[in-house]
Amino acid sequence: MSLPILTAVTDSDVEAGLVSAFDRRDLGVTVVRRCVDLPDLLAAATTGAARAALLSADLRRLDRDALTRLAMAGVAVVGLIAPGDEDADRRLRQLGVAAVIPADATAEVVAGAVVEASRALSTPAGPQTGWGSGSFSEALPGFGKLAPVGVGTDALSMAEPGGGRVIAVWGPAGAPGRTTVALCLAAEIAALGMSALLVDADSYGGSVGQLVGLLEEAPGLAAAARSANQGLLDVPRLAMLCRDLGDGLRVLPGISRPSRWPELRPASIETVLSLSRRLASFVVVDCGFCLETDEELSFDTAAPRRNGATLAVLESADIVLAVASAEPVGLVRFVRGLADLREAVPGAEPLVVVNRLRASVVGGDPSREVSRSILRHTGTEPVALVPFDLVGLDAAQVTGQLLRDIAPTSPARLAIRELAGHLAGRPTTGRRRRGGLRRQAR
Amino acid sequence: MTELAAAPVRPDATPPPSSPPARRLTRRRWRDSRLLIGVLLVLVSVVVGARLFASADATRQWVVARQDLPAGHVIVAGDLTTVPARLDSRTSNRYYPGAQLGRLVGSTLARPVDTGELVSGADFVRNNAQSTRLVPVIVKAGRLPALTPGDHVDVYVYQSGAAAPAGTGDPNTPDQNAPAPATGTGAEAQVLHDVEFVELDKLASGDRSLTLRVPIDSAIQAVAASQSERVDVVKLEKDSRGGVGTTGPTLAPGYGR
Repeated sequence: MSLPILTAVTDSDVEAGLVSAFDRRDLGVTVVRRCVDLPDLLAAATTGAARAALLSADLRRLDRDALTRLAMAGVAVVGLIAPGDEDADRRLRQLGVAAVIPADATAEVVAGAVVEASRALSTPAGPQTGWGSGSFSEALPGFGKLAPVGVGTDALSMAEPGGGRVIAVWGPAGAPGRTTVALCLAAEIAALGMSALLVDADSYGGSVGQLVGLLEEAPGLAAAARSANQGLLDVPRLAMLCRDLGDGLRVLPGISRPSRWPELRPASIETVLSLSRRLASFVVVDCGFCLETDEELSFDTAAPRRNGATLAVLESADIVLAVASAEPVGLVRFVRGLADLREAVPGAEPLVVVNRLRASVVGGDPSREVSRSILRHTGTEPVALVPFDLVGLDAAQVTGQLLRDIAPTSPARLAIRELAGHLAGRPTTGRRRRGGLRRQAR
Repeated sequence: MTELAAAPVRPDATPPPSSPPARRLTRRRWRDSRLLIGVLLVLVSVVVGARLFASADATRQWVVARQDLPAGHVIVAGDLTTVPARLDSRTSNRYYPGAQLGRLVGSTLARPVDTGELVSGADFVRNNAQSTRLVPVIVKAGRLPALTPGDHVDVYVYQSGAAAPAGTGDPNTPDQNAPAPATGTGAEAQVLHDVEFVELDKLASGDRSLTLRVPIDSAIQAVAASQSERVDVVKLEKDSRGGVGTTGPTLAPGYGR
């Protein structure tokens, strides 16, 4: 059976030559439509008439979002570039297209690549039809496994993940201290001598930039996501968008207003995180709280996803920290939110961090009480109990400095430093945290 | 607590590209440049102001009496001290500056000096002056003009029973306009001329005791005059050339008893 394909090649001579060659000989592919532009291609793809698309690298408005929609429609993509055009090759690969062929290749090579790409797309799990299951970069599944054809393969950023580990810091509604924990954790990891990158991916309004006292409104994650969507993001550009706080700590500020959430496209966030792994040993990501996916109830088509960025981060993360606030309301919210998290991201095994721990609201020995409560209701014990050091955290926030610099002996800082040591594989020793915790809690 | 496995981190062969440094709020320290500049401004203004005041200060040290000193007192080290004062050029050459305090020790006061009074050259007995005597002379109230220490006076005494010449002191020149001679039995005689008045004391009886500086030769006349019950003191006033003139007639017929 011949594979139905679409073409959207800007060079009409090349397109005509390929179409006539596919017509003349039985190469296993049949061109069902020659599309004039990207909207035409997307429209044709959503009809389900084709299973692969052959498109030019210089197709206008070609971005990762469009490729995601093609993949959603079950259409594999093969890129066609001018011979020797390394920029176009790099851009297509950064967009996630692994099958890139120079335009002067023979029709047999092109047809073989298209068949192979279509097979790679359909073999692992079949086309994705629903939201929330699998990674958002499943828009282009199988492309990474395809043997690259064509020019140099040194710029493969997507296929080969960097060495860094992504730690997502999530917490339920009610401000349990996600950003505080993420910021302190990144700072402590950096203090341990390892490079750390703090990414503010809170789609409900980031505050990392303000907390570290940045004087400029850095474009940050929004600009990185935009570049990733256009296939222009690479490690140097991502590094330029970050801000260096010294001592191996960088930050990538987020959106300052919740209304800008559409700029944080899930697929782009995944690209950003993938490149971030090559920028730092540990990438700490501050997430939004909400995990709802109501869009599939409201829209029949592929609607923008309000919490797509949060879910993309949680999907991509190697470690998910779930932050709970120690007061009764916060604990109840956390128990319910953790159930939602396990349902939304089945692969993640969240590590519980209890924040704002104090005896005044829990009573008795707060560490024991809260640990027992968390264990009873979630089946997991907290990995860290962070005392509520209001004075130290307020001082850090007022001065726009890190807690480790403002209050080096803060019990909250010591608890997070111990957590950072565990996560980074360098446990800190010689600290009697429990005693300090109890003192602070009272 | 859940034990976490150590996370293996693959070291990168090439260092990742650097990021631009963040422009952040600077941490406030006490060594703030604004604070240092402020302190510096205050110090400079204080120093400049002090220098300005010091340059505008025209006071100098002058010698004053530490306590009341009587006339004839020989100055010792504890009698005098110095005070800052501003004197104009016309006045300052009359008084001793503080640097000359030591030179005055051993000098003899020619007149009494009160506490805090500036000491001038006229207050001391000159080295080349002749020896004098301070003699008290009792004078009834109303028979002496207002005097200040340093004034020069003549002293007249009524001598009862003395023969008085008629007319002037010069018998060879008859005075047509002379008043008729008194019919008393005494004479008014000048016993001291041009002596320095030193001090005035009020006596309980209402009389005045004048201390006069008189030459040695006239001391006996001054003592004698003091014994008289009728002494008149006349103040000498200097003329345009600073002189006090001649004695004039020294003897006249008396009108009293």
